[in-house]
Amino acid sequence: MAHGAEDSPGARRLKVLVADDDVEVAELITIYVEMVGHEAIVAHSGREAVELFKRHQPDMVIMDCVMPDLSGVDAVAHIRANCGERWVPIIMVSALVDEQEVANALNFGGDDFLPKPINPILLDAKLNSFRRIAELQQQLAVRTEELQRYYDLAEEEMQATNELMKRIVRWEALDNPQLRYWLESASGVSGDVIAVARAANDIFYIMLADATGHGLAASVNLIPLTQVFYAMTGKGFHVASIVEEMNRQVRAYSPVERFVAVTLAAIDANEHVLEVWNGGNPPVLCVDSQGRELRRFRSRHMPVGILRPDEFSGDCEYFRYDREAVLLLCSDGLIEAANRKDERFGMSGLVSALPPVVTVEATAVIREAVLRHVGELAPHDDISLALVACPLQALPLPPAASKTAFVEAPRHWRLQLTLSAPQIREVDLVPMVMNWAKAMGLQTDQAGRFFLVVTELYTNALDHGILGLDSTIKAGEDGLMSYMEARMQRLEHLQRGEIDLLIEQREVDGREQVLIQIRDSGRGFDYADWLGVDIGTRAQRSGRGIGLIQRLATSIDYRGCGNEVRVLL
Amino acid sequence: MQTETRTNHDLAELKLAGSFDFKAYREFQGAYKPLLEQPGVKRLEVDMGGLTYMDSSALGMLLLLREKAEVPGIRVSLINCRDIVRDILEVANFTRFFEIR
Repeated sequence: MAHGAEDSPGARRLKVLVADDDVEVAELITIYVEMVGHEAIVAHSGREAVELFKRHQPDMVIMDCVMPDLSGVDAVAHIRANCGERWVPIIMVSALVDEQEVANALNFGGDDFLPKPINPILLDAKLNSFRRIAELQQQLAVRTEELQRYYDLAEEEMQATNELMKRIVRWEALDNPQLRYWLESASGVSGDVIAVARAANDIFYIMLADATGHGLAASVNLIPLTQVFYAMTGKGFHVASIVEEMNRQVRAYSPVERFVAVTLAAIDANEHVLEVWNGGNPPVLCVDSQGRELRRFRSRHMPVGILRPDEFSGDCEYFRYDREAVLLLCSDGLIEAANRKDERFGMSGLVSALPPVVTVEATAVIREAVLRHVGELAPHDDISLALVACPLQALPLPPAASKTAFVEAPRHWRLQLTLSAPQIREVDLVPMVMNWAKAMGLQTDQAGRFFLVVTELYTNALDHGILGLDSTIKAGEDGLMSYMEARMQRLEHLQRGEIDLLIEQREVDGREQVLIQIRDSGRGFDYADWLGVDIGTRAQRSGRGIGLIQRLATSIDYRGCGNEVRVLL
Repeated sequence: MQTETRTNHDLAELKLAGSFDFKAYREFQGAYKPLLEQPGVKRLEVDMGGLTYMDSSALGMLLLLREKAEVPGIRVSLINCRDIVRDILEVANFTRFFEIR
């Protein structure tokens, strides 16, 4: 006899519905089916076949074409209607061998045809063949289900990424007269980010970042980036320190092949200086109001997240602008945007798209030009573009967000402390004072200024008043090192000395005012002389001198022999 | 992306053609892995001449290759870098990490 079902690898016992009105023929087919190892269910009429099909859900059907009650064609139709998602092979059998009949059977849903008398060898071969196909169908159904699950997961991930992007960027800060931007994502969620911040010293920072890859895996790298950006710009750090920290964190949190192309620029409207770090993005352009290129800052560094901290360089390019200008930043998605003929938009496209008079409003014009260029083609990569004004005078601060002003009543508090030698040696006072002040209710828009002023005043009181250090040591080769060594030495051996600190917030003429007063037990200095010098060198870490306090504060008063100072913010 | 590999004593060659993007991941890694494992290989030249497109995920894949090649101490260079390939490598300052010709 023919090979049994058991011979095929992974063979399964099938449930076969046999339908024939001729009882003997039905019996014979049943014997053959069972002989090759399958289970048979028998029906003697079309109607019975449909009934039994519904009840037993067999894997295969062998059915006579011509049955009295229901024609074979109708029976097939009914059975197909009851199959649902499954595909059940239906083999039609008939004594009458007529091409038209065979054609009919196959056209109306039958899958194959066997002439009577049934040849068992042929029957077995067909059963096996159909069983293989049925198994393939089954596998396909499983794959489809898997695919559907992955699709659903992908949708969920995209949602999560969207939510993430909404939260890591301070969108309301982008609504700023100094800037206009355009973000266009290639696929639902953009892996590009634009963030801005304005520090207490009027420095306007802008960052444009483009993370490798797509989706959540790419966007996740933008979390440390944006958080570092807001934290450090808030404190007025230099661009170099900020990118160094960004690199450290992105490297720490992601594998080597994931990195972020970053452009970070600081615009000092008071000094008219641009400080730019570009690692992996297209060149940043600085143009004047006539569109003439004043400076191009090309990518001189590797993107963030690749180099080790000791290999990384935060070295920036500086440029002093002498007239109203606009800084243009973009990601490579804009430069590489291609049209039907595969022509890139290019840097030349960007420059040609500039209108005759260039302001930040040119952003919309460039956007139009890019969209015209690509036509109906969907962007291949995320596009981001930002135009920032480089003014000759600091723009007025936008009105502070009313988030923290939930208390209507004026806040009045006072913090007074005295540190003597042991505390001076051990305590890192400034961060502690910051925390207290914030807890007491110091407004967040004041926090930056407050921090800078307290740091400067405390450092002066400690370094010069108590430790008696002379800042002229800092000048010259290794001056800073010598200074720091001397400082550490003297601090370690400090036995006597006192610093009094008073901080008070009160309302004066409807305005919140903060008073900072420091007195040290040192010998003081000739403050009249000191106030006249504007120490603008950026040799110190924060590059600030008394000039900054003069700019930030409403008033500065030195008293006594110069060992007491009172600053009003 | 299509790949073609060849070894000649201490030099392994990996020729790339087509589009080097995130979809090329399996093909690329599948091609360089056996080259790095071949004993005696000291240099690996990746021929970029046949590439029509390259994006930042390709840069990432090159970084991964470099990291993996460090283990057996194989030096990786990128040859026949033209046009768009040259541009993207320059903007990312990859000359720091790879010999680029």
